Amino acid sequence: MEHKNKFLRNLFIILVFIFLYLPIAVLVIYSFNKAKTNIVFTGFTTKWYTELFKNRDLLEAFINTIIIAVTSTVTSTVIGTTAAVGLYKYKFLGKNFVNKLLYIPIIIPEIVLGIALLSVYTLMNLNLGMFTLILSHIAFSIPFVITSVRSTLSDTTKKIEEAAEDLGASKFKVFKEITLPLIRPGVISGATLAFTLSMDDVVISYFTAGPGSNTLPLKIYSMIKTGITPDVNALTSLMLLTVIIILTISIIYQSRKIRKKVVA
Amino acid sequence: MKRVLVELKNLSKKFGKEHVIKDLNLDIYEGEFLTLLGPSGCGKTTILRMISGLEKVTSGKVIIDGKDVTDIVPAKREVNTIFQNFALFPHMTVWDNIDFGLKMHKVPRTEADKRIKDAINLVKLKGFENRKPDELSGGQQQRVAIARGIVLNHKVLLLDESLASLDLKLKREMQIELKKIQKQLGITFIYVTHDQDEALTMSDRIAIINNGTVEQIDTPENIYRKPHTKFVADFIGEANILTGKITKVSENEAVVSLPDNMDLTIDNKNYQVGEEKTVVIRPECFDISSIESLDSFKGVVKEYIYDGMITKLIVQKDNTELRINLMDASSFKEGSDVYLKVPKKYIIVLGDKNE
Repeated sequence: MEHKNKFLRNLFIILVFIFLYLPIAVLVIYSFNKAKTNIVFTGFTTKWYTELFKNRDLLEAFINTIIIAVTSTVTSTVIGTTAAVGLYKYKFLGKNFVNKLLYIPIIIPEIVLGIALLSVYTLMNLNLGMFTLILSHIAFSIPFVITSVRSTLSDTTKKIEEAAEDLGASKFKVFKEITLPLIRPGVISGATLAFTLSMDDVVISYFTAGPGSNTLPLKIYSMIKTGITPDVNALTSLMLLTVIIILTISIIYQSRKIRKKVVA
Repeated sequence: MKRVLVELKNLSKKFGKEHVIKDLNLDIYEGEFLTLLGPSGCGKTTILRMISGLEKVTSGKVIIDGKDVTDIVPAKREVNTIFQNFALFPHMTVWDNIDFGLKMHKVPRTEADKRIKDAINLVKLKGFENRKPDELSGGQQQRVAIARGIVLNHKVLLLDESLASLDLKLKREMQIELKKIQKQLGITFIYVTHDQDEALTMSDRIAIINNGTVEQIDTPENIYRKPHTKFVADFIGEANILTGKITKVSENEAVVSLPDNMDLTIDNKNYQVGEEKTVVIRPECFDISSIESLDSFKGVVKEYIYDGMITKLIVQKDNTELRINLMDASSFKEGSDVYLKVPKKYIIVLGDKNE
């Protein structure tokens, strides 16, 4: 009985992992496929990787995506962090209402937010382009940053800030030396969230992009009609590699921190 | 005459409609260990926070070392606080935690280093300088908090239930050590607690706080032996509190008749016959015997509770239950008759002026 349970358990875990990672594995394998379509594997090649750097459209879209992601991440992280700290620190009329209001952009369908932003831009006579894209990405990232930062603020934070104040720190020093280091994990995870959300956003970008401001997800999406070329596979494989490298570094860093603690 | 270091004048605090501190006056002397003792919610922590400036006063004045600091921010007040859960900076080492205040006050490096070292030695944390707070035990964290509080050499240290989170044994150790540190440095400690044992062991004076006012301020011994109010008598230690009338007065003595035919002889302090009086008798103040004697009254042992150092008896006298503590109660059993007497020097009559 015990054996059977163990077997079933392991089988289940294996199936889950296959379900999660098989598509990714296929993508990577096909980026080395000689054939032009993602149907049969005809032989190994790295030509799509060299081809990729010749595909100016795709590269341009990629660069746009990075520019938008970086700008919107930095801006929304600054705004979101200050907002979270402000909401936590100060009492004002309708604070509860504002707190609830923050969840709306997170839960409403993206398509609604996309159309809403588009109508605002038209109303304001803004030309659709990089600027409107960045603005939109900032808008939908802020609530995520606020939620993430807020989770690191607690009553203990308040006590620790009071202790710093008691020891002679000005409000600014308290924020810089105490609050910011304490909420750093929340700020980092908020920023990471904002960055990834911006990187792969399709729906909102679709409504707020203009001519000459194609982003990578939009470009790939439009390619579906004409057929995705293997250089897209190559590009996404490279993106995957970047993510894996970043993850590995963070894991090594964290385990080192834990080990240091155990030794101490 | 001792010098007044901290003066609270007609201090009031309202949170919304709730009147937490009501017109409170309190003088705290230089170098004394004063405890603000009271039940939770009595406002004692609020008083402390108004001294440190972390709470704004609604009306009244806070004067520290002759200077009115009522409208001065906490950072500029020459007091430091040791918080309930220590509130150490988790991202800093022990050294940096202690250094923080010195940095904020721009103390020159060489002097700061020396002061940190002295503080670390004083609280016995040598060798732990590079640890982070979460790598320390509760007792060690407490020591860091103390070092951080005293390193600025301010004349007043405020302690907000600072030992509450430690286990009993450690708490006892830290009580003695805190008292030692306070004597050694000669600074004023204002200590907030709801733990009466702690207050009695550590304090030079105790201020009993109830409902936002000072009920009584006195030495621990007087607080215990000569409570002024029912609340103080009941809050500190165990007490039998009984109300009766003066039925007889002579030149030196008077008799107070309590319910259930208990007549007690007390010293006469200008009492009038018919005057209503409340008396307090501590459980350890009874003379108890199994043999009847003059002036004794009879009761029945209702409960016998062995409590290690002492044995607690609950004696039923008609409708009144009396709590009696004895070192040796082996000659009494549940259900046995006992004869009680209270020497008049142990009878506390409330409402008497303190001699």
